[in-house]
Amino acid sequence: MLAGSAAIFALVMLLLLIAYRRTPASHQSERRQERFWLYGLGLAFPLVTLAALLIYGLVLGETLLPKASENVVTVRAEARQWSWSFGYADAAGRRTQGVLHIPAGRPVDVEITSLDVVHSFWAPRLAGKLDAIPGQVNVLRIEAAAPGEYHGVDAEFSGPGYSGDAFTVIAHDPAGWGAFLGRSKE
Amino acid sequence: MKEIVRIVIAMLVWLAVFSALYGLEGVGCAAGWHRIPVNGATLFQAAMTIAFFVALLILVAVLVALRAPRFRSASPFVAHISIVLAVAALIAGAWTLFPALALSHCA
Amino acid sequence: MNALARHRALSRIWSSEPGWRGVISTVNHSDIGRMFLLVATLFFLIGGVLAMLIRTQLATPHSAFVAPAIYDQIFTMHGTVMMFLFAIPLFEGAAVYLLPKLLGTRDLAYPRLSAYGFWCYVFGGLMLVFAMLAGLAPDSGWFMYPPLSSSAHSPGVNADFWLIGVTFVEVSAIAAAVEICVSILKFRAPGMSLDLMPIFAWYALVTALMILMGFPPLILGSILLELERAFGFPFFESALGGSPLLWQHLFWLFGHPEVYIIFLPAAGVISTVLPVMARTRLLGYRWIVAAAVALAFLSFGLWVHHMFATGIPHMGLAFFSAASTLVAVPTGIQIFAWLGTLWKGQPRLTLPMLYIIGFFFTFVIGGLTGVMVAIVPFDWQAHDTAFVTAHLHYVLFGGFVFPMLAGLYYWLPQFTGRKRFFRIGEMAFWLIFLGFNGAFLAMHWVGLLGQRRRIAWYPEDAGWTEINLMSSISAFIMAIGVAMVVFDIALHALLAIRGSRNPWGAGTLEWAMPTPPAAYNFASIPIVGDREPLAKDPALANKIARGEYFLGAPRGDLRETLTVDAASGRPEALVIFPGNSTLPIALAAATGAAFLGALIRVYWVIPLALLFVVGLSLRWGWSQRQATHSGLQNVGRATLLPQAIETDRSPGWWGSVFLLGADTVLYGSLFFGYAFLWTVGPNWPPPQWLSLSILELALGLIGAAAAAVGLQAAARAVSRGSPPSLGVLLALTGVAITIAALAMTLTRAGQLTDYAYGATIFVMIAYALIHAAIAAIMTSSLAYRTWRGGAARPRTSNVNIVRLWTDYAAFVAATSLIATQFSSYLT
Repeated sequence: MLAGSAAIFALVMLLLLIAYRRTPASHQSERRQERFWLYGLGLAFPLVTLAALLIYGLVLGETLLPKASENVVTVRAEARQWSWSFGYADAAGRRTQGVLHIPAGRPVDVEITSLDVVHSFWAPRLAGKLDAIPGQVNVLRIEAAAPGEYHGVDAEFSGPGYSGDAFTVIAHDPAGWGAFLGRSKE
Repeated sequence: MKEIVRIVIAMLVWLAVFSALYGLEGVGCAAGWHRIPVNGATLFQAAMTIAFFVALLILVAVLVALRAPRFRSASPFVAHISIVLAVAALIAGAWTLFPALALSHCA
Repeated sequence: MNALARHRALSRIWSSEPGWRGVISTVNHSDIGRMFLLVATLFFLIGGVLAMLIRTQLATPHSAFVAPAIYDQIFTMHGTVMMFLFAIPLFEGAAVYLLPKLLGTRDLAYPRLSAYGFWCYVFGGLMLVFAMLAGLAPDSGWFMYPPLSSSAHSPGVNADFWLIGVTFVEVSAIAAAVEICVSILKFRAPGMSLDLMPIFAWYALVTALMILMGFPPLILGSILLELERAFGFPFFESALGGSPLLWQHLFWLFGHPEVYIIFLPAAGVISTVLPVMARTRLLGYRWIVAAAVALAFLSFGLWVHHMFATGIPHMGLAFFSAASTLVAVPTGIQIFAWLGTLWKGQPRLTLPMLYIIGFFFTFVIGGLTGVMVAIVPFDWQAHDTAFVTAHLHYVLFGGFVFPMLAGLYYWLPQFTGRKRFFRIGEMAFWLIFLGFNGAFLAMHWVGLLGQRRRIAWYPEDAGWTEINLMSSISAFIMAIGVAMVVFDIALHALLAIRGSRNPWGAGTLEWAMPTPPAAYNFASIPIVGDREPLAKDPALANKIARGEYFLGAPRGDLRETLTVDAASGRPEALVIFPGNSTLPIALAAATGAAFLGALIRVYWVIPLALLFVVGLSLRWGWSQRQATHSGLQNVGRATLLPQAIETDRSPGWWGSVFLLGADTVLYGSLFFGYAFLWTVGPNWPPPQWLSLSILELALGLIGAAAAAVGLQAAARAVSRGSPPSLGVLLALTGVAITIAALAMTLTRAGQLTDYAYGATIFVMIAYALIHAAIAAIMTSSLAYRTWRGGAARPRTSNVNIVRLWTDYAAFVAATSLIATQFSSYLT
């Protein structure tokens, strides 16, 4: 996408530069010029490029949707000014503050909601953003490829404490995940 | 005023059918049409598919009307612009609404 | 009469009063346009200072420059000032100043309305400036998402300043838009058919239509949010059946078209300036007009792309993603048409052209990043980061400020009749261009690294320190460039070096007059047979000054111009404009008092202020100037035309059509909100429905029908030449019955407003009631005219205007009653 954009940008700049460097071809009819500039460059060129890009984007978007799957883990994220609280379907009653535990290598559905204003759940290395909206539950599919700690932030302006409103996602290996769930049963 | 109507009508109709399909999608999901089976598909799919083709038909009708001697502008300039925009509206209809046929529902 | 005597006579008729009184009583479009441009520029500088404060804050990590609470006010005000108090008013100012000159007429359709709009803008802007100086500025971000902006989370008066101040300013935008539409369609030089209109007029027409369609949703949203804040109507409160997303829909339904409302006038400037700089004519005029119209409509199908991360189903997002990519096509057509124009001609590298090249560079980058964020998965990452901030500045600064600077330097000689001497503008260009790109390229980068927008501080270990510092330094370089432009213009004003009349060799009519322009623009109204009349006939300016065309003979103290048939440009009627008047500023002050009453929550002020508004409006309507005798008027060149107010469709009728168009969009948005809460809103159905009252419904429908039928009969009577007493009486009775029915429904709905459903139907009925009241006032004034008789007797044009408003009120009363009375059956 970046390379394509750079190429289009270079093309426009080049056409602009050449306009100043050439002697105008006055023999060309207005109609022919219209055909080249408007039908060709103005209409056909963007339509083809954009169609390809759009379809690519939509196909990719479809694959990112939460699909039914056997081993999906469901967790819950509740935003408030300015902290995050997480709950776990596999461990009823267990809540963690500011730290979300997930298993690595398994799809995780995060049910996101808010207790006060609009926030947005964003763990950049795991998935895109999804807003936390009061009165509504949005489901975001995330998956951590490897165990480790991932950074997450609130990504919708939510008042004076917004800048520091962050959380951590800890992805566990199977043993660690079992231990986390087990500990919660105690 | 009639000339202005000729110029804006096609895109206005596009905006109307675009909003209508978006609204239908919202209503369908809210009412749970995607869970009602109809002949191997769902009520949601059926409704969206029919709506898509109806929308395109309406846009074709606008294009045909703007070319018809009865509604066509006497000014070549306005006639040209109105027909170009009717074609544009038809392309825009197909371009912006094709997800109604292809994408997953209510997810 | 020679040219000089004609100039003196016309100047006496058209000039504003001397001194400061002239400022408050002028209704001349050149004056109003200049005042608009000046005030908008001041707000640009204010917004710029705020931007510098933001960059100071972000220059270093863990910045302690200002606390978050203040910082939030700063960035909210930066966005608000730039969008509402700079960009839109600058367009209005440019259009108000230029359009009559481009179109070959002497003033805009409603001179007093231009002045009213200007004063509404000034008063609304002052409210926001006051809030800022008092430290009470809005602080929820310029798109004011509830519940953050609701009273629970923004208890102070800050958010109210935004909702009320911005709505007040938008009243002025609507007024200007109505004025621009009617002026372009009806107030042109004879012979200027639609295809001969200067391209800027097309862009201005499209932009004005977009304002009429785009602003009402936000006005409605602001009203609803203010009702929620002030009276607890829970439209956006999910626990009580509302939805925070309703605001986002209404806001972006305005907000995305807004971007194109800002871009299109700038594109109009480029389409005007660039061909002159290339010593040729614009390539593909017809295609550009079509592209502008297509762009305008497509931009209304994009709003949800600001809400890709709100959990809307993927199919819904896909519609908007597709529309967002498609909008690049008409934009591309314009870009390539401009490039083709340059290839066609022999481009010069003048200062305006330099700014246009700056436009190409930045706007194309902005467009390309725009296509990127139109792609849903990319946006899920880039959304609400500095990448988006950078993108929107490339589009808005690149797509608006650069072209407007090009326009400034292009029209400066027309504006002042002088020429530039120092080459400060060129230096300023390089500072602005390099500074801008340094500042915002860096922001793309830091955004992709994960820096969110609107943060007040970031940690050292984020790795963003150097990039932000570079961005801040570049921003200050840009600010120095802007300051140099201001300095350049100031020097220009001080050093009076006479310039030639048409220094660029342009072909449009604004150069066919002495510079600086006289208050009356054209000594006689030219006949146009070419898109560039001045290029076709270089002697045109002299012929105009010699009074060879229409209205070359001044009559008494009448400010005269012509209206034409909208399509063909055939002259249709003689218009006599009102003279200087303090009514506009008084009416704006009264309107402002009503807004202020709502702001400080002293509610008894509002009805009092509205009483003044109604009184002044009636006086406004009554004080129409007209010719000394009725019937056909001699407009010169052996042509006899009727007076506009003696035709069936006067300018007031045309204005009403466009205003009611905007009003219909507002009403439609209200229905959208009703349907949205019904289908998507959480916590629906409500605990209690409005029960059906056959009495209210029947009375309302009968009243509405009687009002419509009565005025139809009145119109028929007037066209026969007999007094319309019976029809007017029937209409008055009908309106009164409708008001009674609506009032009954409103009382019952008033008991349900602690839930979103009840609050919504309350607003629907209240809306209908307000329109019924307007219809009642207008019909009463018609009745008064009938009773007085003689010179005051109603003309067809009067009846037709009242009919428009009353029919609309009847329609609204009927639909709102049906939609609310049956709601309990719709579950």
